[in-house]
Amino acid sequence: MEAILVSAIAQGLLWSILGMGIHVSYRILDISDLTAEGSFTLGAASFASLVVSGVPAALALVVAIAFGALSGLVTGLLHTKLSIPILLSSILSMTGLYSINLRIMGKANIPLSGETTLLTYIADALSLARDRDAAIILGIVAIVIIILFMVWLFNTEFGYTIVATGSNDKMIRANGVNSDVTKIAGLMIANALIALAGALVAQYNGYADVGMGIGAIVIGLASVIIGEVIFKRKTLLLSLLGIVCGSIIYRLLVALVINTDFISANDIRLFTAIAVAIAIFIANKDIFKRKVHKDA
Amino acid sequence: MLKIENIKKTFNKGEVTEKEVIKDLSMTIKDGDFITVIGGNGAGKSTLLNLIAGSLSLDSGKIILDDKDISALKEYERAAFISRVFQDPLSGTCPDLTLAENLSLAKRRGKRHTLKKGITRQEKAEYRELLASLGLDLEGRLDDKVGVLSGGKRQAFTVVMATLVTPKLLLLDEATAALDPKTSKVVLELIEKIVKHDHITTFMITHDMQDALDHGDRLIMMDEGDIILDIAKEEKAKMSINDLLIHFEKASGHRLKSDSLLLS
Ligand SMILES: Nc1ncnc2c1ncn2[C@@H]1O[C@H](COP(=O)(O)OP(=O)(O)O)[C@@H](O)[C@H]1O
Ligand SMILES: [Mg+2]
Repeated sequence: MEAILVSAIAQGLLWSILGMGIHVSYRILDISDLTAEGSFTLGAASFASLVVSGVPAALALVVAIAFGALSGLVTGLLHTKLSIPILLSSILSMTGLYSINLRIMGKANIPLSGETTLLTYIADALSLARDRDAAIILGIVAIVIIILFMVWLFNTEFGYTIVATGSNDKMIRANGVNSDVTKIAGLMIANALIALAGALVAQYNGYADVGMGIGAIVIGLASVIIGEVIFKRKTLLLSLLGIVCGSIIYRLLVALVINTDFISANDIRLFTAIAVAIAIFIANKDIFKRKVHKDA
Repeated sequence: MLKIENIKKTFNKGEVTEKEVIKDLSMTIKDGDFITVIGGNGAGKSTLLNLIAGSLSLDSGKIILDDKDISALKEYERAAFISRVFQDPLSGTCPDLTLAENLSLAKRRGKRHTLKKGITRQEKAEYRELLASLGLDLEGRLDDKVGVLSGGKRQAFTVVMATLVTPKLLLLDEATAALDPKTSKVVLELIEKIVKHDHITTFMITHDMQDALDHGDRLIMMDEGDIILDIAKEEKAKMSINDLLIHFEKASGHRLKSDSLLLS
């Protein structure tokens, strides 16, 4: 039981960063960006292939984050400059990324066993016996840095313009802001975070796999929505902490469900999809209501 | 000075639903003019305002502000000198940001939004003082999200935002139409007070003929995409709603549909 709990916390922490990325696009920008499915894998793929070719893990992580931002940029440009609806723009990115990820990896799966990753580095430095413990430390460090970054950014002049774009882009244009730029910036931040999550999860799993992004959006959404049930989206800080809790709770639920006889690991995505659908249905009465009078 | 020269706008060109909405319209707005604009539903008032603001693009013609042709500028570029208040009280503000944060956005209208801290302590003090001086009972609510304000308060707050940095031109499109009569009066008085105080050139569309007579120093009547009457201050001061209706009939050749305007 303790093992289940610890591993849920470790995974929950790392995956919560995916949730934070989804929060930026889905909640702050208020758009459905499906790039996540590709950018999550992109982060893992670029990180893993750089590390196995001898690039230091810290540098590989920075590149993974930058690639994630780049994928957000592409989706943003398709959406704003070519006026392609965001859903389709992001599906185009996601589809293109599948091939790009395979190109980067050269094969469908890159094992990381035996490589020096941030995780093994932390484990060695602190002489931790288990990867899970190192993952918890890595997760907490990453989350603290991201939360500090987000709270800082969304309290700057530019941060306000991103928030305002999401809730009322008519208003933000009337206030002299090019909402194309703010949308693109938001998408870049979202997908940079998602790629970071992919790179961290790859280290925990011990491999990068071309299919690991499948279901990323729904998994991210699950943590966002569970977080909102807990903290009611009062401030950005609470939302982000809520996502961390939500992500851990989600991992616990998954662990519990997997341990039953009639659900296997393969059923998890179906389980998650149904759970998210039900959660949204319930939350619609409450959390989602506010969106109704948007931009009338 | 704003010069509008022979502007035209047709919607859905080449389709069965083609509609010529602004037909070769020209006018000059002098600095400090406070113009009220009336006209029946579909006369093209909002379209004209959107063309000036840049949220719609011209088919032909020019818009010249202070000798500079702004016709090719995007809406967000024109926002550096043109600000606006929409009919819907929800349109002019960001509900997810606090009052102080919204004001901070408005204070940087047309400037770069940098990675500096969004609000300084000093700015916040300024905002508090400004709101207190306007008597809107909002000075204690700087840290509340705008989304929790009532429609009337929110529209009054939008007016404050639109004029926080004095624009060269203030555009108001039926800014009080969605409010109850009492709140509408409060917001109109606020507009009047700020516009007078800062000598803002103002273009105010209203559906209320009495408001159009009571406010501003020039009255324009639109019909079928053109200006059919342009009444200067002195003449306007002597007019009643009835005079306006008679003028309208003469100029347009048809009666004003009574459901499209508020007559009292
Ligand atoms: N985006 C649009 N597409 C097509 N027709 C439009 C559009 N906007 C306005 N119109 C039409 O143009 C005419 C003038 O509209 P508008 O400028 O909103 O009038 P007003 O504000 O004077 O009531 C109306 O007949 C309206 O239906
Ligand atoms: Mg109108």
